[in-house]
Amino acid sequence: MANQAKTHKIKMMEEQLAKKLNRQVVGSLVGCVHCGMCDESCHYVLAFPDDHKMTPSYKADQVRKLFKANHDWTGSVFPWWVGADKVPLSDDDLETLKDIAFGTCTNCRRCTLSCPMGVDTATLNRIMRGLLSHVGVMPEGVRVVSKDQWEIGNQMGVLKEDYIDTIEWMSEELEEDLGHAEATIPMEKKGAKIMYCINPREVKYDPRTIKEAALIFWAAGEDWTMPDEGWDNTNFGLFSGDDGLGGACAKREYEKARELGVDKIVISECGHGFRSTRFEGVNWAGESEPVPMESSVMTMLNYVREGKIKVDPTKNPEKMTFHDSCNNARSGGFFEEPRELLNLVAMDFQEMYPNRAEGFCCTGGGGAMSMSEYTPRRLESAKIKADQIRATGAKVVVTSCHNCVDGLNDLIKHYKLDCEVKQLVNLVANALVLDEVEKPVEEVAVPEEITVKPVAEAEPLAGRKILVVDDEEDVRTFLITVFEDAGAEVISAADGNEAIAMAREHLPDLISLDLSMPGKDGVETFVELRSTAETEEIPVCVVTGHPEFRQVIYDRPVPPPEGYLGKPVDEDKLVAYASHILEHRNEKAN
Amino acid sequence: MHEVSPALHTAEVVHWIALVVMAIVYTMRIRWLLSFKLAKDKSAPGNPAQSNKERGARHSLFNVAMPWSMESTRNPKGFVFYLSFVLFHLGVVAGIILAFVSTIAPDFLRIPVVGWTVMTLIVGALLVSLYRIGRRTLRPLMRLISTPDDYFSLIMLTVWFAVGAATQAYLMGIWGVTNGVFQIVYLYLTSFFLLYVPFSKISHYLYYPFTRTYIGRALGHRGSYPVVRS
Amino acid sequence: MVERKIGDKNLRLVREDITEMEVDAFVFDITEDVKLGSGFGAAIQQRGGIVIQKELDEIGGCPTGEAVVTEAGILKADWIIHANGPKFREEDEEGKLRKTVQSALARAEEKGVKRLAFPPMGTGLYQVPLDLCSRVMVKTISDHLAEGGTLEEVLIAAPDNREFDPFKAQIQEGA
Repeated sequence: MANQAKTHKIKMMEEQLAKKLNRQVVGSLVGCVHCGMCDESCHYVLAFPDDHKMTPSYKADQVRKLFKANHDWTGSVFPWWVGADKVPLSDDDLETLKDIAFGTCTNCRRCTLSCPMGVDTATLNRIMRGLLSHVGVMPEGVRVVSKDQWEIGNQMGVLKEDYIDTIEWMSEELEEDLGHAEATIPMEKKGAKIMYCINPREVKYDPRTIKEAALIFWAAGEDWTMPDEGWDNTNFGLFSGDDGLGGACAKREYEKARELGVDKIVISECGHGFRSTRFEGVNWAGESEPVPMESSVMTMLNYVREGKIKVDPTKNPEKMTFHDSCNNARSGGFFEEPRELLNLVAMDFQEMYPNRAEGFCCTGGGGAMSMSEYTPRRLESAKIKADQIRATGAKVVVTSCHNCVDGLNDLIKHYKLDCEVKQLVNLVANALVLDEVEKPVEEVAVPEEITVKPVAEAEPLAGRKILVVDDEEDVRTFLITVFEDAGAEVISAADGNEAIAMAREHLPDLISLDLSMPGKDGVETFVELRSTAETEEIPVCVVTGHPEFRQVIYDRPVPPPEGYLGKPVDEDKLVAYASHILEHRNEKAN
Repeated sequence: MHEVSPALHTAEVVHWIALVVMAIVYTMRIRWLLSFKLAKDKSAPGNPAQSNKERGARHSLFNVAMPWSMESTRNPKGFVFYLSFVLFHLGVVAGIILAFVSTIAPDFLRIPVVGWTVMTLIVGALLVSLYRIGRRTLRPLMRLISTPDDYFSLIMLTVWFAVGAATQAYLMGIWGVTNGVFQIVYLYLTSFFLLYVPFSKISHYLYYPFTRTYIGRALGHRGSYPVVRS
Repeated sequence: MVERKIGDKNLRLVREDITEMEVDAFVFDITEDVKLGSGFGAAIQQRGGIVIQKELDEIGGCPTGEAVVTEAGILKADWIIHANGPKFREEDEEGKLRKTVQSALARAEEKGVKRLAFPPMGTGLYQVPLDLCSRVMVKTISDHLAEGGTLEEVLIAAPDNREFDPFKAQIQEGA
């Protein structure tokens, strides 16, 4: 009998399932007629037409079977009649379920809109994820990131001192760029109108978006602040299906907002962060009177609408298209405002089809970027999105989601599309015209046009020894030239083994490491460097054009790299990053 | 009352009893669904310009009559499937009318326009159900997601339509069908269905108003439903 | 202040970050393979240095319910007590949790620790129910302090209200 063979984990999953049932969920569980109409709504189905296990109803059936076996009349008495006999029995079966729930669905909810019965298939898949993660069955990246978010308070394990350091770094850069003592990032300011919450990816790997947002807030004369805790707007509870984590993350933001006494929380451009903080978090955390919240896109749009900032769309002349984040559009109803803003700050907007609530996932949603074991499948499933983008002929794909930025960047490289990804904050900052804007402090002269650029120092890397590791000779030469021009002493290696040997011998101050190399690849090299006594503390800046990088930041077999830059490399950005990493290292050492 | 044979009379009685049992079981089924807590979205409406729970729910509820509202019924292949869906379900309605009206007012079904309408719908649904059997058994995708209940429900409906067509032909006195046993078999089949349906996938129509309302309300509140296209 | 006096000893609830606390030792909820991993483990590695993981690698493993001790690198504490509590709803959660807390306390006594800090064991990623965790931890620690030993004060570090509130209720219930 099935019941006798059930493992403890499966019993715990069944117990947890009972707690997750509400009327809407039960409706979705009993409503499916297996008509197959959800099939072609899914990008996995379209990319893998011969693998029928990609069909949404099959994925939802995994939790449906458990439900029918335990809660449904027919399923309880005649399980085989309604497929409830095929429930998981062994812990090995749970591994198969993990691959289905985490590896073949991004919970984008597109199938939900194609179901004639109104079955919310994506929600059912999320429930299965929640049952699995409840008993510890989840991809390594999800486990690592969830633990960080539970214990450190953000999904990339950014320590408080590192977060504050980055904010201060951006604040100083902003002040220097503008030559204005008031142009800083206010931290922990009580009674400010806005509390700005961001994605840890911005702190770790894309801090310029923080500076751009700060520039826009400053230009608008906004009374805003960043909190020292509860600043992470992302929420792995949405991805892992753990409502407890979801509620805990969201609550930190809400409680911080109340502590600071702000009027509202503004959520930086992160799709799942917006959905989790603005909507689901309220329910997970059981908030009866949620703090007002909005996307930073809405904030920026209102600045333009109200004339608080002035923008010049000719600064963004390239042909652009817009990718709707599933969480923003399908689960948040947020799709017209980004388009309105985009049309205000750019010259040439080309819609891609389908779009808005019917848009396809970037393929990096649902936590997929953190699940490196499924990367090949993810990239193959991205063909649908790549074809959509290619059809627009756009040179820039604009999106309002950090996850989508990473997902789209990966697919652009994989499918060799001739375009780049930008967020609205990049475009608004670029289009910003400051000459007629009311300044908080009037007597200070401000340059007419602001270009966000790093601090110009003659030789910011003077006296530093840098090891450049890259298998491509032209890239290596370029990196060597950039670092040498910045005053560094540069040594180089063309593969992993050579890199490890040179690092041991020369003990450089910084290693610039490519991840895709023949032989010992960059990930292995990185892990070995970090696990070897002589080299473990040498800071590493990963310079890569490939998604292998996700493995070192999400699975995190060893402490993560200090910096990351995508290819093609921006010269100024590279030097600024390298300088910052080295300065930060010095501060820590002291 | 019309004159009936004892065998037909028994079938009619069983048939009406089955209807009462079905009603009771359905009531229990709805009570069971309602026994689960209704989750409430406490977040503020997603987009003041678009968010509307009630409009979302209404639109969602009538989704069945709006093939343009979903991508899966909007594309040409999906639209053909939608038309077959309409015919199939109208055939079910015609079959139910046939079952009940034949026991209380068989002459009504002998009015040519009524009789031929019922006949057309039932035969049409029979053809669709034969197609659906083929679709469900021959397409690997459909086999993968189908349970014994899915196959059985479809096959039994197909048989029901076939016997229904014969019953209607008998009532109308056409196609040389003169054997009244078809009507008796049809009533017993209907009785079986009435008893079986609440335990099978066929009860989906009972859940339809709930599931559609829930998803319409949920996404209507967020502002993404009804779907805006451009 | 939320605390329970047990003779001249003290059980206290604080909202601090456990890896930065000025205590003699703090407890880390480790896995069987003694890898520090992410979360507090990442904070320990980044703030304390890689020597801690090296020492753990030499120890090699720690079965559920047991605890092992390492030095704390350049952290403010002297010792880290790595205790392997129950994870992901495994069987006999309560018994295993009690044993884990007892093992951690025993290791602390062996090192002559006076001030020891615990996190709520396993109530985050590891899914140990908060009511069970707060009840078992508060009772086990209180019982231990009542028996004497070198420990003078045990702190439970719970920065979030989610954990703070149930622990507060447990501590005050028996105070």
